[in-house]
Amino acid sequence: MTKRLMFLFLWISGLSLWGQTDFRVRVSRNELNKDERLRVDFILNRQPERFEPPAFRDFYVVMGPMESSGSQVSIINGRMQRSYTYSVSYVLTPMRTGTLTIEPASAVVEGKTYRTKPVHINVSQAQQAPPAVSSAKPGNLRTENIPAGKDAFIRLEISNRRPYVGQAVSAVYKLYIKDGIGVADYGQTQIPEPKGFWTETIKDKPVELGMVEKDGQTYRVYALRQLMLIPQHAGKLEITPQKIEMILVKKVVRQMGPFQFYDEVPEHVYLSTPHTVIEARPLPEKDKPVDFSGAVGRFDLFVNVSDTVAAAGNDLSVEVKVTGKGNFNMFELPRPVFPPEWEVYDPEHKINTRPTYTGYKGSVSDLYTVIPQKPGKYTLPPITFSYFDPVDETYKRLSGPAYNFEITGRRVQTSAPYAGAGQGGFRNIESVSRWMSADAVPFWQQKWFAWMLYLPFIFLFLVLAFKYWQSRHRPDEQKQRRQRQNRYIKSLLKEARNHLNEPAVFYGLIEKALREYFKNRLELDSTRLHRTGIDEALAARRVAPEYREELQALWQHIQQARYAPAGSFDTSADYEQIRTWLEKLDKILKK
Amino acid sequence: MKRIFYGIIFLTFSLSMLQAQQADSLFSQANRLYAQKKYAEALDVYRRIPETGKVSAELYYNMGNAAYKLNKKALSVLYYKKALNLRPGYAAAKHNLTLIRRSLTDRIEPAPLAFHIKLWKKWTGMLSVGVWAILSRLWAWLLLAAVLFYLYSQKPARKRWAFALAGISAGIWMLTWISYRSAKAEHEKTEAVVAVPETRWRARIDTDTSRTGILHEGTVVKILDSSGNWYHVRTADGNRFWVPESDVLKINERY
Repeated sequence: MTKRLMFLFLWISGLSLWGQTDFRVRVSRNELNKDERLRVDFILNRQPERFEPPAFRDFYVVMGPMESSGSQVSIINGRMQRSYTYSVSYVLTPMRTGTLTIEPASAVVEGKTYRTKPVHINVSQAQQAPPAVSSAKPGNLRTENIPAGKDAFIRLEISNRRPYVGQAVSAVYKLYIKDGIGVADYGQTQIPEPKGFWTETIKDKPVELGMVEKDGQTYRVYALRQLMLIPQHAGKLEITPQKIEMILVKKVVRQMGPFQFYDEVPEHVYLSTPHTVIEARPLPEKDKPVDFSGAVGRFDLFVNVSDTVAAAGNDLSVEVKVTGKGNFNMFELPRPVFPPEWEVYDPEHKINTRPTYTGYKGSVSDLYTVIPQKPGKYTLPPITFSYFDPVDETYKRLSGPAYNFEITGRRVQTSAPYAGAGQGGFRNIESVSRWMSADAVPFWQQKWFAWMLYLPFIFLFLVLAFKYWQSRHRPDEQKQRRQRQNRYIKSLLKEARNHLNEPAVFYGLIEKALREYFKNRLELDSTRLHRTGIDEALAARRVAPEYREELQALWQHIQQARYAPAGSFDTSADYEQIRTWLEKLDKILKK
Repeated sequence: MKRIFYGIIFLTFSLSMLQAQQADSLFSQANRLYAQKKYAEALDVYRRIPETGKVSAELYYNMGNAAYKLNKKALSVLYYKKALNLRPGYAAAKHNLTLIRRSLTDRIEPAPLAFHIKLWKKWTGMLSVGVWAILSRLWAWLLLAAVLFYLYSQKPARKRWAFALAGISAGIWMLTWISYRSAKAEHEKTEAVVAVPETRWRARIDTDTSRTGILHEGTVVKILDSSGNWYHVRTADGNRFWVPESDVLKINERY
């Protein structure tokens, strides 16, 4: 905005008002030690189109470039003069000793290039060895003796400079900056490590706290770090100074006619807190309770028991809980005195605390799991807990109730042979082992067992496939009938074979079978189903005459056997003969 | 032929007996050392037993106890887990394992399960994998029998019965089979125990080391995947990490 307004102004007043272009370099000092810094400003009385800084080959750039511009109007002898300043600043630190050069910078104004003169700086050896930490990086060099201006300062606020050992105090690093001054850069050079304290960071980021009036000035206040410190031992405990390096930006308002212009002037400052000493007081020895374990603060004691009536062998839980505010983590919780007949496990320790200005706030608890082994009546004596109250400066004792337990049931046997390892509620080792093969693959992981699942489905698939095939290839009616008849003939022959000893029945059945056979094969109706009819039909089928003669002979033989049973008949031989003859004929007829 | 057959049977049987005897003598020797509170010596003797070809849930349980007494928490968790793998409902091993878990640095609460998943886990856990395996096979054959009966029975009344039977056995077969698969997956899952005091995990194995943290000794993780020298693991609360392979011990492997 400033620049735009300025251009507008220039445009109105005309460029002719401007004198010669002047481009200069200014250094804060020409001689310095190797661990010191110098500031270099490049000043131009015009707004450049382009500015190119030097390479700074012999220096580290600690800060910069910081660009600023402003204009001034002055009236001398009734003549108004306008001047304009553009400047670029750097803070440098030398890389080596000797005569070093700051190379020329260049700026382009209205198409013309201007250069500054090179500047020579004499750098001598550092007078004392720089501290190890700060020499590591060029940005962390030893601070120069630039006095901290009143524009900004830091303070360490300690809530209590004479706390008791174990009593928490708060330490807040506060940064005061004069209102209207901005912060361009900010870095902590030295972070204090309070020694002899238990330190807990409450907040590590800067928090704006508001405005404060001091010495007629208004300051903005920031809390840089907020710590909770708990002294660990009595005596004088020191907090080393916190050092801060920052670049402030001052805004200077210039009135010019109806316009207001802001100049931004950077200022490099080093701030530090003074050495702070805290005197930790020891806890009074007088009236110190026996059961005091170092707790300082304000606490409450809670004891919870899951049940007071239980069967032997069942587990009970006993919780000891301390809540409140104080130096949690620095004292021990009281341990209940359990009857020796009980198995007691290591307690489950729970911590639920957060740091505050006046110590940890929250609760800490121990959850014991116990298993009464023997039935009976037991008493858990009251649990006591003592602490020191730093506000009242006295020791206080809290006491839980006593509990009476009634354990029922029967005594629980601990594994007998290797007793002695039962402490801690730990189940004992086994004395008998049921061995199994180390390499055995369980049966259900073996291949054959997998097949036991596949097989029924494969089988089912095959059955269904067969059924389907069957339905697709259904034999025709005629064939079916023939099959039925074949079966019938076969059954007749079979029956005949069962009656080999009764020739009458045997030959009767054989004749019936033959008639059925010809009826079927030659497709004869019953009117032609006699010897001549069959013979004619066979002749029509071009059956060789010898077969026909053979058949006639057979008929003759059967007729004889049936109706004139004189003499003996070899039924079994006849049966075989008829069968072979029928087989032969089958083959002929099939052709 | 018969003689050879019996001979082989006798030989394998006597070999097995011999192994068992050897294992028993080592086991009681180690138990005596344990009773004398020589836990390290006892553990050494216990560790020789699997070399005889025999193992047991009791053996791994005792090894877990010995490791616990030596304050080797990771080993102890590993052995109890092995014991529980061999016998899932081993009460003493479960009990001691919960005791150890209380003393571990990482107290990982298992992620709460949905109601139906809990119910299903309970159901599949009712029977061992072997029993589920047998049941699933048995019902497959019953299903086959019912279908055949349906296909080949002639009378309509019988066909109806056969159809109903086939439907029911198909349903039961499906249930037993899915239960078997689920129980088998549970049995075969590869778990591991963090064996070093602290292992630094990463959210990803590549260069992204921005999200990192520490798992402590004795934490049981499930191995999901591996890549290079890293395992992708899941803790009981459902978080997934990559941890170096060398920092964990697999439960399924022999140590």
